[in-house]
Amino acid sequence: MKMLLSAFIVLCMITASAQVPGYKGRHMALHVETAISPALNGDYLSDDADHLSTANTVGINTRLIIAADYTVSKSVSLGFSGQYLPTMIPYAYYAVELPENPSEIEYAGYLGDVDIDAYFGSAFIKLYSFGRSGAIAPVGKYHKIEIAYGYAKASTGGYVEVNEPHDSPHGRPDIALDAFEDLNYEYAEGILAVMYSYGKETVYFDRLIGNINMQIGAVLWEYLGNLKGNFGTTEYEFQSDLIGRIGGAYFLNLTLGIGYFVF
Amino acid sequence: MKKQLIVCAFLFLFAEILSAQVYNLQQFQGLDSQGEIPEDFTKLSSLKFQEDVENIEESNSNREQRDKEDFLLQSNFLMDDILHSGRVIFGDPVTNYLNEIKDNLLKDDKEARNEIRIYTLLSNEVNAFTANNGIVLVTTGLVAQVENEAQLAFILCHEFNHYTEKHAINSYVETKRMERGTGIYRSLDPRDIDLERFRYSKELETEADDLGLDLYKKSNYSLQAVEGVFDVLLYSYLPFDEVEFNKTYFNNGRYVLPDELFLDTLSAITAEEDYDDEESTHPNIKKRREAIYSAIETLNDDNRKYFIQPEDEFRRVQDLCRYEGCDIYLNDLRYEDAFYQAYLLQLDDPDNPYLKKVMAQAIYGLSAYHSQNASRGNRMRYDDVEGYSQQVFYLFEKIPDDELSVLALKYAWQAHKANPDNLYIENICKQLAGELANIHNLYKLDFYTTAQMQADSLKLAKETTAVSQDSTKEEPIITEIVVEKKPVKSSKYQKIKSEEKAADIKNEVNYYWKYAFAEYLNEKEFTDLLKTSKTEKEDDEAETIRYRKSRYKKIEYQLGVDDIVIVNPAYYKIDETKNNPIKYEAAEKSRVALREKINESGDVLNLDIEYLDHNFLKDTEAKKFNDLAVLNAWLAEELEHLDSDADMINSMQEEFEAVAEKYGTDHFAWIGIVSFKEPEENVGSKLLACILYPLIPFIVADLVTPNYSTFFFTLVANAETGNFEMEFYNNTNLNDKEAVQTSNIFYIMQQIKTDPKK
Repeated sequence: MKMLLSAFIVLCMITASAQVPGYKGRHMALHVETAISPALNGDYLSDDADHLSTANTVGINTRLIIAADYTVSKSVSLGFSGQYLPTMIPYAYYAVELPENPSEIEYAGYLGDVDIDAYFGSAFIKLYSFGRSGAIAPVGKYHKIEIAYGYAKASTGGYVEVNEPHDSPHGRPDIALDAFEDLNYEYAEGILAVMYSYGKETVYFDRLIGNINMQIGAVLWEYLGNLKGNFGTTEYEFQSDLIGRIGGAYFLNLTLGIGYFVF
Repeated sequence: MKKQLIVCAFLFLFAEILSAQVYNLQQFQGLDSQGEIPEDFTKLSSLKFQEDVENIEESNSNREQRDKEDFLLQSNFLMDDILHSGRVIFGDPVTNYLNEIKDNLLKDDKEARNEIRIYTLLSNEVNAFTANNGIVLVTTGLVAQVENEAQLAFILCHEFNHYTEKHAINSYVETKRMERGTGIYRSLDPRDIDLERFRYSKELETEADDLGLDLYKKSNYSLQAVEGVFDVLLYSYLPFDEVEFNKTYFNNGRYVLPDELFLDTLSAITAEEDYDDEESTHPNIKKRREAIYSAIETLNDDNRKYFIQPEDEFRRVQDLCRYEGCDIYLNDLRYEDAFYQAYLLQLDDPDNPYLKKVMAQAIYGLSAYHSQNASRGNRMRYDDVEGYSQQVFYLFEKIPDDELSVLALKYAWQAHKANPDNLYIENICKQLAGELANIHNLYKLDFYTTAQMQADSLKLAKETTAVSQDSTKEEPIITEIVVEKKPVKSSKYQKIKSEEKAADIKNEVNYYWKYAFAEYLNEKEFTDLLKTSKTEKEDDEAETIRYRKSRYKKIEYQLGVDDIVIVNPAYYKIDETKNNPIKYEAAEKSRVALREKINESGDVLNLDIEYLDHNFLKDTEAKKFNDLAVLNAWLAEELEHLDSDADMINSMQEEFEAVAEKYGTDHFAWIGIVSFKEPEENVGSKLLACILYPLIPFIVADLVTPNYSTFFFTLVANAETGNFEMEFYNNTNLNDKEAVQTSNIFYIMQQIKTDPKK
């Protein structure tokens, strides 16, 4: 991240002296954006016959983004962003094996919602096709290619089932945990996501920037073999669900944002 | 007190005399506007439209009311386009003269006299037309061709009645009714609609003739003169006079144009007055003439006059129009016409430097277009021309390109000597010399000096004697005929040598052009011109390559300019989803608002901007109005050259440079925006693409948003070089919102201001 930031600052310095139009000579803008994507929870809630989870079947993921971009030529803007994605795994069961447990209870399990907080830093390039569509950065239609890198934390969600001991969904007697954190699962770190957006920016009152784009993206983490935990364990399942939820949130988004020209 | 009044009156008169421009035909510089700018030229078209709508008569139906409003909208905007074209002038001697006739004709009708405004349209077409708002435009071509003031008066009477009877708006409403097939026009096929339209138009013209004659009869103008008006109309496609072109006009010493460059017989003048007028907007001339004749034949023409104003004044005004005609022809790239017009005028004033310059410009234009294989869209072929001017068209069509270039340089050099301080003609000479060297590979050594010419003449005379046994004939043409007589008895070798000599002599005739510069090759300035021409060509090539690059690629221009004049920005809005796609009012509003955006960008970039726009001129700024006319005329011609791929010096270059000097900058920019809104296309295939479900949001977004595109263009010309330094075109797929306009305008201004990369 530090490298990306340094590279960005160096680029800005290089281009600051060049004659780049920008918007009436303004190049640097700060943006606040919200990326909205549908959250389809049907699969996760299949065992929740009593609708105990705090999640609905269909929800909305919102990803908050704070970005800065800098126009480096009439066709190119470079930028970086910080993103926060709150989501959840609804009505999930995750457990840990209890070693050397004298009773017949072999597992300590958590049944309930798991909240996820994912944090990403990204670097992006916005390409305004001056040659083909006549857009002059930062106004007009653009293609944005973005690489995000981050991590996720999980915590106890809104609903937890605490009947002790009880039959787990796997039919085994468990110690029911009332906090997801008690499982001591490793969280997903080093999640890599790539995104492509096609959008449009316009300027109001010479300073404010309106931004709308459609984004498709994919989380590459899973394919890089970074899942934690042993295959077959619920920890592995958790990791997989976690990536699935984040991947779902990044897959298809409508982003709405507002920006401000700093200089 | 009395003394003071006299002094004041004298000072006032003196000031008037000073402010009135005196036109010197020897150094004619074109007609231009003078005095206070009439509101017609500066008021926004949308305001004129709104006023007209308020004054419109209530119609019987809403539809007719809408038709009338549509007409008023279109006519106001289109008329203003003409008024701002630079070809309409006010306060000049011609306009003043025409207004004097108007005042005389309408002396008893104060209301009409105030409502009707006459302006002069700089055009060689023989025409006059009237707008619904009372503006009458009379072309210089018409004034150049009429025989007397009375004929002009009759034509004006005809036009005035088009206005008083509201013919323009009535014609529009009636045509709309025909197109809709309402009332008596029900169930007409398209062909019948056309014929009905022509019939209705003829009806209005006949009414304008009749009522016009009634008005005319009230004046003191001669009734006899009216008949001549129809001759003016009948032969309006011919030059203002018919004079045989002298085939020896260009000849000088042994520079003799061959006979084959001239026609033996010219096409007869075929104009007919009794033509089929079924598909014409006007009744044929015979019908009009007869109708008028029958109305006046019994009337007494005593005490009626051909001229009410002094005849000298008519001649002066007519001369101005004829001289102006030369400039118009040059500006319209009608070089043959320009040449012949100047030829006709030269008959009365053989040494007129202006006419020499016109001729030099015309031949230069022809030479440039021929040599560069460039085509002129409006070029007439000689076989489409009738009358004596056909000879000129034939000559310039048939003369080989290299010989034409030689003739052009010869003539340009003569014009240079007649106008030694004229840098423009000097530059023409340079370019022509370059043309000779680089296109035709002709250099100084290819031409004969006076000494060589004399020697050759002697040699030719001897050879001619040897071959023909006839020493009395020296003219090459005659020699050519004699050469064909072969010696009756001679050896094979004598025959061969004789044939060779005959061929040489024949070649000499074909190489007549080698003698073109005989009298100038002793002049250092001329020989220097021929010497330096090769390198200039190389520069030209580099220039041409740069232009091609800039025309087809969106390159960075970076002109490094600190001061610029923005000329008449253009703005058009077209909404193809509507029945009336041209959004005149919205476009004008956006155009007016452009000024602020341009100035704001200039402020940010520290670029000094002078803004020239008709709607922002004060009524005292007639000079700026004239500057706009010059700039627009320069641009119109330059675009023609650009379109034809012809590299030549614009005929308005001198005037352009003068304007540049006035504004203290060489750089002038024409900026324009055209915005389109189009209906959605390929809806079916886009819906089909929804099979790829992740694309659905993109496709839906595309389908629900209208298709917009906005085209930005800017041309920046350098008055010093006479070339475009920036040709910026940017076609965006965006609506013309403020931000899109601002970002493009700023980019354009930034390209103008930014210093070139080292």
